[in-house]
Amino acid sequence: MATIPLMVMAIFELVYLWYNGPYEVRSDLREHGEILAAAIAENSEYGLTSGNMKDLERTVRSLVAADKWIYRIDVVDSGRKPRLSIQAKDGRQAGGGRFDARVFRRTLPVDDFGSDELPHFSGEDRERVETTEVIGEVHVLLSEEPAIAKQKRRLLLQMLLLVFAVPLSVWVATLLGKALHRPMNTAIRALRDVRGGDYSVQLDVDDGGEMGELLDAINDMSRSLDEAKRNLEGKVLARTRDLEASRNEALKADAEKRRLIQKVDSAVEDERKSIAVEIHDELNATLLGARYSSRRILDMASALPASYETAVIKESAETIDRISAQLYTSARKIVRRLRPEVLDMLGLEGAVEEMLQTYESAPGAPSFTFNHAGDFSQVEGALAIAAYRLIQECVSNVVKHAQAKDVVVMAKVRISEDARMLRLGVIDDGIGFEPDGVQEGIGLIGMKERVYAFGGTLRIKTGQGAGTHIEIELPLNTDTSTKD
Amino acid sequence: MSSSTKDPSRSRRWWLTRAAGAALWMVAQSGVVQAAPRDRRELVIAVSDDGESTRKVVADLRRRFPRAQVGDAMSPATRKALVIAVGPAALRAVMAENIEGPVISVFTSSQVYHSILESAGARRPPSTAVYAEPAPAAQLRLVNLLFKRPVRTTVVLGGRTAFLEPSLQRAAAATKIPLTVEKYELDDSVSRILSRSVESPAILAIPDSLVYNSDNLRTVLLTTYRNGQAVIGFSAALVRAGALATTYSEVEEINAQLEELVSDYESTGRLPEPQFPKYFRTLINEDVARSLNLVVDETARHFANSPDKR
Repeated sequence: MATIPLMVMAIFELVYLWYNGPYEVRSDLREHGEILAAAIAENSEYGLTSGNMKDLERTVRSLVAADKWIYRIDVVDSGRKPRLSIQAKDGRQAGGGRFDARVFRRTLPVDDFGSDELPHFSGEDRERVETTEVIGEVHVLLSEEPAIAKQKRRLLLQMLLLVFAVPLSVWVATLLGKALHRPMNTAIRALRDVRGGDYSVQLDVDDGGEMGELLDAINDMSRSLDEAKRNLEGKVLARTRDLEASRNEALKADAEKRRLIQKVDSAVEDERKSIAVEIHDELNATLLGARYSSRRILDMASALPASYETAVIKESAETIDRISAQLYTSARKIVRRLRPEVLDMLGLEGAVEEMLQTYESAPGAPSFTFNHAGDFSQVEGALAIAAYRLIQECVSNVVKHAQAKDVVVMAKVRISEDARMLRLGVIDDGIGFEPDGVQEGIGLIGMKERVYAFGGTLRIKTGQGAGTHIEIELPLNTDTSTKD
Repeated sequence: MSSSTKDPSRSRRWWLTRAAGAALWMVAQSGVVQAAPRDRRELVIAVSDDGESTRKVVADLRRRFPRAQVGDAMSPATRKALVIAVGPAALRAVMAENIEGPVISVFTSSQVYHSILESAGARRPPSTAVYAEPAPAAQLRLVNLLFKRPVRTTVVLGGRTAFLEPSLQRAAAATKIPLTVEKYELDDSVSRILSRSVESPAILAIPDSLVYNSDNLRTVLLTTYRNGQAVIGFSAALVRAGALATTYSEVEEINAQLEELVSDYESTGRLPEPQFPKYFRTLINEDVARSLNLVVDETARHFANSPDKR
């Protein structure tokens, strides 16, 4: 590759030499002819002025004999009258062109004492103006042959030089190319290593000059990149440590938050349980006692003779019995809602089924379908209560807002190698709602917090007129689920 | 603004007019010239230009002739005043005036002096001259000093200088120089004449514009150089241009001779014949001398006649 410019240059040089030849010939002829004409014109002043042409003729004849370029030299006076014509006698041919030069007569700038105007001073030393006058012309006719011969010799010499110079240049260029090839390859390999991430590259620099500077620059670059990489790695490591610490802090805070929610839920459940026990043990017993007493009054009044007073007593006793019965029923409902003891007896699936039957028995309630699968014995404690409350909240919302006709409630326990999960679902065909257009209520927030406390997920699919599908996944046997 | 700083020719006219006016006024005021021993006339210096050389001449003449008035040559002068005409133009102008007083021409060559007298006709005032060119006798003596022996010398005389032949022959005889006088004809060529005189080692150039002029002086010098002939020129400028040597006179030397001439005239009342410069010095072109294989000695270099020797 390195030799291509040389070859191109050589070709152009040859073309230039070949096509420039005629111009060189003309240039040589012109230069030669003009110099000759000017020199002979300078020497012709005396001959033309004095009429003594012998000296000039001798000079010109010698010139024609000595200079093979000259074909003929003519000297004419100012009237174009030939005064001298010398032609070469050795058979030269014309054709080299004609070159002319005028012959001047220059006046001597001295006073000839012939003026009848200004004073004459024999001691005067000031310069007078020199004037010139054309008194003749010199024509130099050249022969073309010597110029062509000279050009041929010049062309031959230049071609010979090219013949030697081009191979020599190619050889030198090849040597230089080889000398450059090794360090260039080394440099390229090093750059590839650097590009591949190996910044430990260090090249041996044993050359001076530009190549040495290049290798030095690669070494410097490699060192700089290595140092920059180490700095960057150190920064990343420090940042990673910071992030891990932050993450741990966040996880710790998250766990504490979950524990706090669970603790609150647990406290709420405990309080509910306590209230339920109070109602069950105290209020219900009292109501049963009041009902028993009212029935005794009724029995005793029935045994008495009929009178207005007995009739009033019987009616009052019956009213007290009826009210007590109603209060007892209400208290039992309250106890059930406060403390689903049915969970302890029937498990989650039984409690949910009982809860659905209760809702379905209400006037205008939708039709509930309950699907459950899996081993619900895994679901117990706080997790069971949370699952029950979540379904309870969903169903309550459906009854209160959805205007649904059919509601499907699902509860499935899925145990596999990957996960142990309780999946809950409540699907209704109600009016649905716009998830983005409805401000979250206390109920939904409470559901999310409850799910979050157990590390589960809650997804809601709904839309205007599209019903509502709530899907909840709660992991089994987590630390939080087994605590209580 | 003065126009004198703008136009040199106007300045010159202004200067000449003022000078002539002053001279004529003083001439008119002086009335009758005070009686001299013999013929002490009014003295007028007539000039026709204000070139540097002319101003130098006039300044020196003022010093020598304090009573002289400087006037424009074209201005009418007192009829009987002694007029010193500086240069050919002044001489011609004075000759054209209707005056009676004698006229002394200086710084005019002999050929031009005689030409102007011929043009002035018979009614011209009496005149004499100190010619501008060197004296042929001194030039021939210089030839002897340069060659250290009498050598044949050729002189070419044209129509304007033919009158010099007798004096040349006398001077040649006095210096024992074999003199060849070549007559220049109208259709002749000075180069051809000189080529005929190759046996003469020396050529004495007498200023005659028919023979020697600025057109052919270069050729003359080349011809004589090729012939190996020494040219005794007629001015320092010609020697610097390639002639071998010449005697020449500075302004002060011509004026000194003029002063003597005026003094003689005033004492004798007679106007002498025109004369060549009496006081002179010598200039030699050493390069030309070497080319001619001449060994120039100090005697030749210091060949001179100074007015201080009086």
